[in-house]
This record gives sequence, C-alpha cells and structure tokens, in this order.
Amino acid sequence: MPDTTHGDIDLSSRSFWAKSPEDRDAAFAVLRRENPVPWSRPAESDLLPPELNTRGFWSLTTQEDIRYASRHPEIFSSADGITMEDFAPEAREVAQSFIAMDAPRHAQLRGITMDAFKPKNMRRLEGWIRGHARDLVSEMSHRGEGDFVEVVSVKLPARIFGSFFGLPEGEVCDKATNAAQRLLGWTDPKVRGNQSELELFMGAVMDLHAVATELIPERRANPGEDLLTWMVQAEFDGKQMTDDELRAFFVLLAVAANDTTRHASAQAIYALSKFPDQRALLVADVEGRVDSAVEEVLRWASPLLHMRRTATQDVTVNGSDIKAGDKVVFWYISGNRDEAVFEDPFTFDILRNPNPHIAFGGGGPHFCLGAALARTMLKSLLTEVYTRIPDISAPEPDFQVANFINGINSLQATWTPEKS
Amino acid sequence: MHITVDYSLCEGHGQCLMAAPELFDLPDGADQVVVLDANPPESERDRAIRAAAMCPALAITIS
Repeated sequence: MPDTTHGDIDLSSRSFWAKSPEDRDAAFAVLRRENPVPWSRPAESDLLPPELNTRGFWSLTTQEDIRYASRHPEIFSSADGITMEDFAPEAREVAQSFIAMDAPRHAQLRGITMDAFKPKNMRRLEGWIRGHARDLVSEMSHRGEGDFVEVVSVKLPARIFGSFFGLPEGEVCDKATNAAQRLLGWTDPKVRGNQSELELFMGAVMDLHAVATELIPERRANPGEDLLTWMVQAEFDGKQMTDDELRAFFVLLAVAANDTTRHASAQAIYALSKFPDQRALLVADVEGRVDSAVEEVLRWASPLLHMRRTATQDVTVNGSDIKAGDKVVFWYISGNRDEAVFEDPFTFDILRNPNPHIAFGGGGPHFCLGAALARTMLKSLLTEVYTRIPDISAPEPDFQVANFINGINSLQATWTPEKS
Repeated sequence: MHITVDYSLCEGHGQCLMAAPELFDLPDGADQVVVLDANPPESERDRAIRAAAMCPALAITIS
C-alpha cells in the first residue's frame, strides 16, 4: 500500500481488524515511519453503550517505546483495563483479576501461581507435555486431513490446563475450556453468532464462574496438588481470597491458558505452510531448529496483538504528549515487525538469531506468566508434527476478526497419513 | 565468548534458562538469574544469543 499515509489508518474500526495480516503489517509500518504514537478515536465496540464509549487511545508502535512503557507500570497502569475496548467496571471485575491490577495486589495474586509456571518447572514438565502432544498427534496422524484447530490446537492447551487445575475430565473440563476459548471472541461475527458482544462475553464468564463455584468448596474440603487448591489456600496478611476473587482469578487463568497457545499453534502450522522452504528447513533438522522456529512463530504471529494501559501522569513518548488518564495501547504485532530491531522483519525466517520479539510483552511485572509453558508446548507440538506428518499443509486459515487475540477460527489441513 | 547480566535490568523472568540451561539458572526463591558459565565455549554461542534475545528486560550481553 505505497500510497497509504498514516491519516488513512483507523485502528479503531472493526474493518481494519478484518483485513489480511499483510495489510495490517503494512499499515503499522506506515505508522512506525510517519507517526509512531498516533491518537485514535474511541474503538468501535458494543461492549459499552455509545454514550459511555467516549475514550480514544494512544498507540505505541515501536519496540523501544513498548519496552519502555512496559517497564514503567507506575506511569502506565493496568488497573483501568487491559484491552483497547472498554468494559464496564463490573464486567472487568468478574473476569480480569490480577492482569488488570497494579502493585502491590497484582504481585500478591500473581505470586500464588508463579511457582507453578517457573521456567525450571517447565523444563521438568517437558517430557509430560511432550507426551500430551504425542497423544494428540497419534489421534489425528492417520486421518490425512482435518481442521487442525479442532483436532489439535484447542486440545493441547485444554488438556494441560485441565491437569494443572485438577478439572474432572469430561463435562466440567469441556465446559471450562469451551467458555475460555470463546470469551475473547466478541469482535468476530462467527464466534458471536446471534448473541450481542456483551452476551457472548458474559455468557462465557458465567460458565467459568459456574465451574469455579462448583470446585472451590470441593478443594477447600479435599485439597489436592493443583493450582486451584493453591489459590483457595493462599493467605495474605492472614486473609484468604474471597469466592468472587477466586472466580475472577479462575477466569483469567482459564482464558490465558486456553486461548493463546491455541492460536499460536495454528499460526505456526499456517506460517510453515505458507512458506514451504521454511518447513523444509525445519523438517531437515527438527531437533536442532525447533527452538528458533518457535521464537520466529511467536514473533511472526504475535498471538496477543495488544495490551492496553492507562497513563497515571502526563508523559511524552516519542513526540506525543500523553495526558494523565489517557488510554495507551501497546501493539506487540507492530513491535515484532520493527525495522529498527529486525533485519528483514517481513521475512519468516526460522533460523533468525537473535530474535528479540515481544510476543510475551516488553518486560515489567505483567510479562506473560505462562511464557515458559507456552514455549514448551509449542516446541513439543512442532516436534511431534514435523517429525511424524512433515508434509502437513494448511495454507488457507479462517482468521478471526479480532484486535486483541490474533485468532484463527479454523485451519483446514492435509497431510500424508502416518503409517502405524 | 563472555556473558554478562546487567542486574539493574534483570527482572528474574528466567526465560534465558529455557534457551540455555547450562549457562543460566534462576535458583528457587531468587529474584534474579545467575550465570552458571560466564565464559562458555564458542559452540554455545547460538544458544547464548538466543537466551539473550529471550530476556524481556534485555539484560544479557554476549561479547
């Protein structure tokens, strides 16, 4: 789009987020060059009634600015919401927990689960995670075709999440993972169906609350070795979390677990189908190249497109004067194409090294808690897939219309069936 | 090859040890990573560079 100028780019419109990834990349390249911290009108959204949807937002598009702001949570607060579209405070409270809090409460709540996600523990769990990936590929490898999202992407995080939380297999686990997977889909007409945006969101929240409400008293009575037990037992200054706090916490972790790695794994298969030379490189030495391939998939896909903060004070960033109370959106998808950081940023290169992407955030206290788990899951899955069904091809994804999660609704794939 | 960590930047996220567990560790209870081998052989360079890029705080320098 050589004729585009930054004035034509409307990040607030839903139609921008229905464009192809290439068109969106081109628009962000214009912004980085011409107007790296632009102001946008209020985001198109039905989450709030029109008379309340009045707040525009600033965008950070360069990696340097995103890293700076991520590491200054005292200036860029999470407490007022973390998505560019605003929710009513009640809707935030029931669903977002510590991701939408600042210190010190943020650190307390995040701390409860931090041990479970420590990189060292993830390394210990690598064999177990690989086993889940192996099972899933065994269940589909003989078929030769299918929707990769349905047969693999949604199932791997669901199984890992289910065991971390000790969810009973079957109905309870299915209800929780299904809700977690649709909760962020309010911007997509297919996910939403005939529900309103808020109905889709709150319906998913209520399903997750129902599961938590059933399990919380049970874990109090019969503690296990699972995250939910840790959550109900945790105490700060002699006080445990209330049931409302526990339910919101459960929603946050359910969504974070289920709706990120799912899309990342679909994006991986898509990218390696779109660029068959890169697939061939990986297949030629899966063990030696899978680690850098995972990093490049994360950079390329930016599974989370943005996080949003709110300025606590007046601050000037890259020439733009941000006022206290203004919303500020960090565009990871743009920081991951930043020409100042990456050589040939628009080339998918699984051997790229160094690859300092910000797919998990730009550092600071809100850096993705599950980064090490996500990396391990993707590594395990790509290893199994490209060792056993190496010619898998899925060049035509059905992308979600979304500005928060870089989602793929379905991904029709074909491959040479594995001989058993 | 020499590895240094800027401890005014390190936030203890521990991602470096996902790439290079022989070079970095985040001991239980520690707030920052430790370098296990500050002068590793050249054969570790690829891994060390990957570890440095995975640091969200960009606290690791390979020289």
